[in-house]
Amino acid sequence: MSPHPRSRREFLAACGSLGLIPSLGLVPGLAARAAAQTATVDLPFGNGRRDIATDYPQKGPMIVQRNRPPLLETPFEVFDHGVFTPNDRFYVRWHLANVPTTIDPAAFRLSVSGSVRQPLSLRLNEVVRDFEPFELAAVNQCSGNSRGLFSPRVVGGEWGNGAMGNALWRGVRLKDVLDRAGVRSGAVQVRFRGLDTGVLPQTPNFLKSLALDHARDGEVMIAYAMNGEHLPLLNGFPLRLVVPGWYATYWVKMLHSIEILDQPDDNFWMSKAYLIPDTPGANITPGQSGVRMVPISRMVPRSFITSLTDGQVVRRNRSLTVRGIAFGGDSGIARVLVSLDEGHHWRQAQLGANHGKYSFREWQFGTRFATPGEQRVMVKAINTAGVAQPSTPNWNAGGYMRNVVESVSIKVA
Amino acid sequence: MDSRTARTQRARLSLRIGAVVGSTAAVLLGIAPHLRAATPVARSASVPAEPRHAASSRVADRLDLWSTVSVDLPVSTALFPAGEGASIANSTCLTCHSVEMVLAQPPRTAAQWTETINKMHSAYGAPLPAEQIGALALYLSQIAGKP
Repeated sequence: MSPHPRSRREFLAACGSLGLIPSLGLVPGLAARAAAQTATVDLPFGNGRRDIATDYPQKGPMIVQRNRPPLLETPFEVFDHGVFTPNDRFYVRWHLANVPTTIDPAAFRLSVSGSVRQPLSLRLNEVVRDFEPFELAAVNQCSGNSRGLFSPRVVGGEWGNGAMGNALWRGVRLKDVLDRAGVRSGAVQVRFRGLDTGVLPQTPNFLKSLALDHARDGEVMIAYAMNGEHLPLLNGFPLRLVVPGWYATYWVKMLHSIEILDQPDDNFWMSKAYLIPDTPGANITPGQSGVRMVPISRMVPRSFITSLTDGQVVRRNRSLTVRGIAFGGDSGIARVLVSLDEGHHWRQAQLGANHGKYSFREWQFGTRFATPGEQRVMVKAINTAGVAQPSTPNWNAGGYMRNVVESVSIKVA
Repeated sequence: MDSRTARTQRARLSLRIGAVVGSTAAVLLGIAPHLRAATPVARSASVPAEPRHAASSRVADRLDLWSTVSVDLPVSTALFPAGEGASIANSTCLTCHSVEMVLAQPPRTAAQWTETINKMHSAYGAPLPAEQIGALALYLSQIAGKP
């Protein structure tokens, strides 16, 4: 019996082989519970062992970074199954512990207030029916995705690479809703608030703001569906802001209040949290001081190998298709390049279907390995704005915006 | 991690979602691509009533079948590992977040933990008497990041 059965079936098989089920009188429900608690994953950094839980609502197996407020990471193998991340495997990240667990759509209202001619209080069906539907595929990535891989290490949610996902979002353009309310001249920002609150009265409400022009760009949207279904509660049911190309901190979940501001927002979550060094790639030297800090914003390109894992054995002289995903950040993917010689030479991978410039894009690369031994496969994305993934990792104290060239080391035998 | 896991008791999952949501989801999987290209209907400022968008309303109608969603989140009852300072950690840190967040951190010095504790106090309102900060920081530097 392996120390950490990965599935209920494996657990039951292990128990069965030892004759445990009859003697312990285990019922399937209890067996599943035990399996859920003993499955773990070792993320590739120190102190990286995490539980894999199967008991979060509307979710399949997820890596538990934190139970409350939930931080659930998508197990990386999910990204090899397609460019759209299933809703029940989509990562989860909440800041404040009072996350409503019951949402009554009949009572729910989306308010639009502040510097507008006509404040609105919209029912869900008014959001769905009264504005032109809008659909867009976009990557939602936590600002701190891959933070656990920072060196030197930094404090925070110690994510592997699975604090990201790609979905087909459906909803309405924020611009259309703002136009209905009639933004007054002199307005500068739009502030968003969800239904979650802190435990302590002193804890600042989670509020995020966008510049008015950005909010009205016709792409920022209020989503009521992802991948053709209503959102899972933990991903923001019933409404979530979608800010294509920007880090997920702006994608406010359980969105229920939109406030048009005459002054720049200086609330905690804009002025103190989610700040990055105002340097290329948000990159500084550890310990460097006197750096101007600015709110995080646009994403940078990334690419991953999904069909191979570190240490995997590959037969020599067999044709092999290496596969993965890439995204351009705030613009589309122009090229994905693969190197088999430690970055000296790069060859172009084949790109899969284009689901829009904000989406994951599949790539494939056919090769065969003749020489037995260790073989590193490296991948690098270049977006349509000409931005390429760097060959050395960035560093900042927040653990934000990691996008170094990725690699997998396999064994050719 | 295993001992920590053993201390964690998750409440039994109970998920109650209206049947309508499930059936709606099944229907929605088949959203036709041509419906995405709905032509906007010009809105006149003098007509307050909201026009329906003919080409898209059939899709929208399927998504406007909303049912109450009610879930139970698993509850971690795990406490900090025994040691001097554990009771301070249990009575303050766990007010706003569960223990895994702390235990999953990399090794950090007491001075680094002091920075974090001060942030929890000043930014989020963690109730912690000043005279306990030193003991808590020392305790955290000894238990967190050491699986």
